[in-house]
Amino acid sequence: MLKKRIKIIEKILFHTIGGGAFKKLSEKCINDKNDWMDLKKCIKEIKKIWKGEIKVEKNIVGALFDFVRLSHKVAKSCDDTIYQEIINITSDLEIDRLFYDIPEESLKPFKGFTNPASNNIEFSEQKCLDCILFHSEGGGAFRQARSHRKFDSDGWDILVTAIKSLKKFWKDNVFVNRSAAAALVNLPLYVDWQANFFEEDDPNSVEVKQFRSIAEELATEIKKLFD
Amino acid sequence: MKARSPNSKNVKPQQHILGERETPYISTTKDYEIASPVYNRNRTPIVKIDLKKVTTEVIDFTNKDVIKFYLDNPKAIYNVLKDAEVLIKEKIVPEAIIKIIWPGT
Repeated sequence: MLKKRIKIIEKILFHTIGGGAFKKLSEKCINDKNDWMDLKKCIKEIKKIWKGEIKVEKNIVGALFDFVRLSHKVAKSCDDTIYQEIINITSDLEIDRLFYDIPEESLKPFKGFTNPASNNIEFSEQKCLDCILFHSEGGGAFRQARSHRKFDSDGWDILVTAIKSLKKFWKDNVFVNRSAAAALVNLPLYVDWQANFFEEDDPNSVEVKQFRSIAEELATEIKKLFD
Repeated sequence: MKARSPNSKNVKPQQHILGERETPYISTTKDYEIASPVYNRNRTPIVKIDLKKVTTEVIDFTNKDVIKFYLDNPKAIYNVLKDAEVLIKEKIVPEAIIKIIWPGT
């Protein structure tokens, strides 16, 4: 079982951040369907292995995070056909689905979180996790952006603080909390998408700059968290 | 009314919910408050839709079984539940639009 797990992990790393599927596409423009099939198979396998686990391998989460972020970056710089191809590939991999065993799990009620009065406070690990889940998956900053089309400065600031604080607790960990990993793995991409709505009305609007900038900052800090 | 990219294939409802722009879906809600300018900064008219007259696929996320089938990301689930969201694929035919409410009226 351990041997199988290591083999799957190696393959996921190879196809996402190594010389496999993604590197072939992004650097050599080779869209190798067999490689993508192989990655998809490995993702399905690791999902089975992760079933019921509260903590998961940090290096895999980090590799998936880099893969999602970079593949969309590459996609944005390509023509429409390649853009669509990359979007189809990343969508087909169903990376979000990897983190939840049963759909009911995602329907669990969310805890609230009250932003502290100051950002210069010491967060416990649990407080970091609560803050991350609230501002990405609950009623916090992401919801304000998606449904109310508002940039919640305080919410984003405290979320960045929580991610930075969490780094202290996770720096030597091989395994990390699965729900927080799930909340963060695609977050910069989804935040960047929110900017697109404002861009249509006015590409130079304050909101476009704010959402693009926070998406970048989140990407930088989340990357450090998974390194 | 047409979706932004009616012919986009392989774009899943979850991607639309999370903010992907070029999708074949139109977001609507069953909750008037959600559509109202008080809730949303968008000051465009609100249209009342008769779902029975919609000729394309309707994905009603006020039904939990529908959520379970289409969504797995809590960011998406939380928002569709709070917004009583209903997606309509490709277009809303004029016959399905039964009332137009202008802001401030």
